[in-house]
Amino acid sequence: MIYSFYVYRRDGVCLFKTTYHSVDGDVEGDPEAEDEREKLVFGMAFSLKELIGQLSPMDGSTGQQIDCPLGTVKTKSSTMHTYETLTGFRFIVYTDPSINTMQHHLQAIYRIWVDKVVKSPLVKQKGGGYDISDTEFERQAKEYFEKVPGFQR
Amino acid sequence: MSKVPLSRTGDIVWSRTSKTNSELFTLTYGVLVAQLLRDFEGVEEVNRELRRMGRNIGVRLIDEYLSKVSLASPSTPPCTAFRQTGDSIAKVAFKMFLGITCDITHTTDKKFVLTLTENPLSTFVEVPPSREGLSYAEILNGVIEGALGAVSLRVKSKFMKQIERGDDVTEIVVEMIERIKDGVGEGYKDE
Repeated sequence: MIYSFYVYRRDGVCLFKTTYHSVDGDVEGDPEAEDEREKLVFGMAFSLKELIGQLSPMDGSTGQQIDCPLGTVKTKSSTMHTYETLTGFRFIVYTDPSINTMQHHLQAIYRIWVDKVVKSPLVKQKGGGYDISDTEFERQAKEYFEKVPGFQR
Repeated sequence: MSKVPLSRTGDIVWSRTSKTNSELFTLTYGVLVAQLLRDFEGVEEVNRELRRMGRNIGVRLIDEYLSKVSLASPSTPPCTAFRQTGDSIAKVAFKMFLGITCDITHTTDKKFVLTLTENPLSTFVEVPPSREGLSYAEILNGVIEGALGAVSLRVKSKFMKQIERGDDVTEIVVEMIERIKDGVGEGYKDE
């Protein structure tokens, strides 16, 4: 089951978020708690990546740390899937632990993002980011996720 | 590991891209430059405006580039050295957005020169002596700077030679200035 989906830009500003299935004790409807959660999600992805970056081995030939993007964080109750583009967009989706990989799905979502947000002249730039009042992305992303096996359970 | 050559990747992406008539493209760009020349006082300002427009285009194009290349050649890893970045621009990016490839010369590890034997932006164009100083295809520099800026590379891109000014080829020199550090924004400080 897919719970929720977030898009962040490089500096952590949340550009898009939606909940497909709420979980118990969900904060939906409480804007303050929702904001808090949105920050926690990014904070976790960001800090984990930093941490892993420091622990990862050096590349012998270049003397640089091997870049290792964060993929999946799995717990008994839920799984966080992340996909980070080189341009700094982070696509994060929360699912139940039965879904093993979402990487290629998130890449497909990135392609929708490029088509419907980045290339769309209707989407306004907002302080270096994008203002997603465009519902076309929202609609297509939902359509896509609904076809992912395990969306509904 | 079998790797798809860059030029092949460029061809694949190009074949899948929807295209526009090249003359329409050239003339539309010509109209844009002509309008800017009417709107602004001097050629320097026009150059600056073209570069600014290019940057805004670049930050968007890079996303299209990344998403399409990862689809056409999933095994291609991200560039790790500036040399690779240059090769990718010359063989893939120019092919997918302008339909041409250009030759590349790496002068140092942080600097390369792109040589274009034709420039689709400036077909039919000759810069008249009264507009000397106009960098007609300046938008290209902006695109390169904007696109690489979005992937944390601050670069300086400028023309050495320009066909429309009477040179035999167009040469673009791209030099890396620094790598932009990743960091979180305002909302996360003090937390």
